[in-house]
Amino acid sequence: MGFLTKLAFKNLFRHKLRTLVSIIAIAFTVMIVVFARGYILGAIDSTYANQIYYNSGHIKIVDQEYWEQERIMPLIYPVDGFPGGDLEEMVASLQETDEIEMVIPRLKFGAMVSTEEDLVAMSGWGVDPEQEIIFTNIEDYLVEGRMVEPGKLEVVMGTALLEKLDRRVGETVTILMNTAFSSLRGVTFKIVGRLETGLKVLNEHLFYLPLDQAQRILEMEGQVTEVLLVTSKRNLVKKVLPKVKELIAERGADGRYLALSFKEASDIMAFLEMANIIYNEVYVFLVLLGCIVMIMTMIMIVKERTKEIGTMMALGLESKNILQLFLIEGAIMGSIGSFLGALSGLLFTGYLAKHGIDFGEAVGAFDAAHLINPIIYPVSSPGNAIFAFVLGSIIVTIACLIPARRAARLEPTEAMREE
Amino acid sequence: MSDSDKKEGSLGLMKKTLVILLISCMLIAIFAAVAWGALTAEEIIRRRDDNEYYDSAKVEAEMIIINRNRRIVKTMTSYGQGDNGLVVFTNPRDRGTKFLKRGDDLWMFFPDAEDLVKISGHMLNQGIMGSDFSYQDLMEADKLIDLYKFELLGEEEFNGRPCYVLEGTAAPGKEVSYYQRKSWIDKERFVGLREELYARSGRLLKVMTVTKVAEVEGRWFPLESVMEDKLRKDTRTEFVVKEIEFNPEIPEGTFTLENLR
Repeated sequence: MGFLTKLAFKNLFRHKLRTLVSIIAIAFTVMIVVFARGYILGAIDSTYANQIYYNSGHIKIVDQEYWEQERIMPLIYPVDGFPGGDLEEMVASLQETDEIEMVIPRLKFGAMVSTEEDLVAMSGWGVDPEQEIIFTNIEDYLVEGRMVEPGKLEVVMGTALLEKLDRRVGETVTILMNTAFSSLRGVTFKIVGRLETGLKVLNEHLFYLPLDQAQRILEMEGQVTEVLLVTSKRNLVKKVLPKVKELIAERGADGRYLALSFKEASDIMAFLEMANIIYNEVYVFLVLLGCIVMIMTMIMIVKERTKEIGTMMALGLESKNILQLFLIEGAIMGSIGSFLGALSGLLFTGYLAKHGIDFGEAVGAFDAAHLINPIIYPVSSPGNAIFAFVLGSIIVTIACLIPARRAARLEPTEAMREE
Repeated sequence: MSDSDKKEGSLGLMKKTLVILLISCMLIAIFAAVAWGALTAEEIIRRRDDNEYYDSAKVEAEMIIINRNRRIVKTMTSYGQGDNGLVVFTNPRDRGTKFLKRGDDLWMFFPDAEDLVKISGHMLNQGIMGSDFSYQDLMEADKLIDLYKFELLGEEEFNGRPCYVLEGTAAPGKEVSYYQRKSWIDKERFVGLREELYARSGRLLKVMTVTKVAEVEGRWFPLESVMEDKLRKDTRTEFVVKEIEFNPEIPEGTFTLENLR
């Protein structure tokens, strides 16, 4: 084996340029695989995060009827406690459940503001400011002012929304909303903060206000539209969800409330999961593409070295040795190429992981209801690079089988006669 | 033929011609009378407008919004004069809210708002407070004859009352919420009993049915009606006129912004 390996190295050096070209092709492909994987993981991660923070928490509890009409945000199907108890009591019971770290109530509703030219539609989110800050780090996105405070008629809006309404922090805005009893209310709020998150929904369509004010104005005292549960890690959801459902059933509310995991709470999640599986197959395909260069090169080499192979066989080298020889040559190119590719991929992805790729314009076309971050931060991990390296090496070696078998099948006498 | 026979023959012919002429004249006269007596679409709508259109009135009314099994009642007092209208809500949940229509603009006053809210144009097509009536529906005070061109389709019975059935298409250049409408108008009383309202695309948008009609100050007026928004499921809104006074004493300055606050 050692002899063959030495021979392999020698052979590779004989055709430096060709060897180099093959190695570069492989390196390039592997680098792309590293980047692509990192990118997809980054996109999925960020979408998960957004879904969890702004849509569903880890587990979302809503009224069944509300869930069916979620698009229009009806106020007549609230979450207001288990039978025989109130919202506070329900929150407390949920808090006591194992592994639940936070219980976050939210009141989401439709609203409008009349500007000179238009009736601007938007959503209001009545929240408990303290909890929102802890859960979503919303303060990190406040570029001006502060978060709202309970008991006050205050709102926080995204930069784009403020622009649409032609307002600034410190000014007031009169917002129209329909209460749970179909009364139209116009209320003047003070704008105390400005958000910039890069998420279209938060930037352009919604405003935060204190939950108690939302409940009072909308005639929904003691009610919310959803309750979000947060665990310490999102993979705990599998364990915790059944417990939550059990609690709801125990309290006799299973005909009314639904408990949804963050994956169930949004259609985009299922889509991404499936996409991920498909992508894995795409990587294999990508590497095979890169191998084509190498396979072509090797076939050329085999043709050129036919006489030489014939000679070697005549001198005692068995055909299986020939096979091994070419396989080793391929494996060497594959490993070096994959290594270089993985390394450069790691560096490239690492750079992008810090700076992100801005898809701003493209994402603009998406429905605002999808919390898609326009800036993707690819995940740069050694694990990713190692995966690509191994994948590259293995596939390259297997791909070499084609030219290698050709070589091994040559008849020594015929081969020696080739020119 | 003898001379006397010839004379007999020509006289007979004259007689026949005279008789035919006489009968024709009679028939024409009869048809003319009938034709003059029959109403054109325009006339029918005019007589309806005479009943339902008012230049000024004071109305106490109730709007009942029925959404699935929820029933919400709003009461209001409204004043209308020409292009202006004022609606003051009187039920507990909406007390203090006022709407003022001036021409094509709608101004809204809310107790918790620091300034008046103005809405105009297409925003007026939205449903008021989640009801099936849009702002425009409630505000449209123009005569139908001025907004639509009508065609008489025929006659039909509706809810036991014989009606004219007319189809109206928006007159060119007129801004209307419903491009086409099909109306059933009571033949005796000239009140609209049913109205189907269509978009330009031909899509049925709303259906209004009048459930109670009464004679008020010498004219027939629809007192109770039900509006169904066909684009929403399981909802309808009832509008009930409790009291109506035509040409009342309306204080000066009723239709000003200052009066709203």
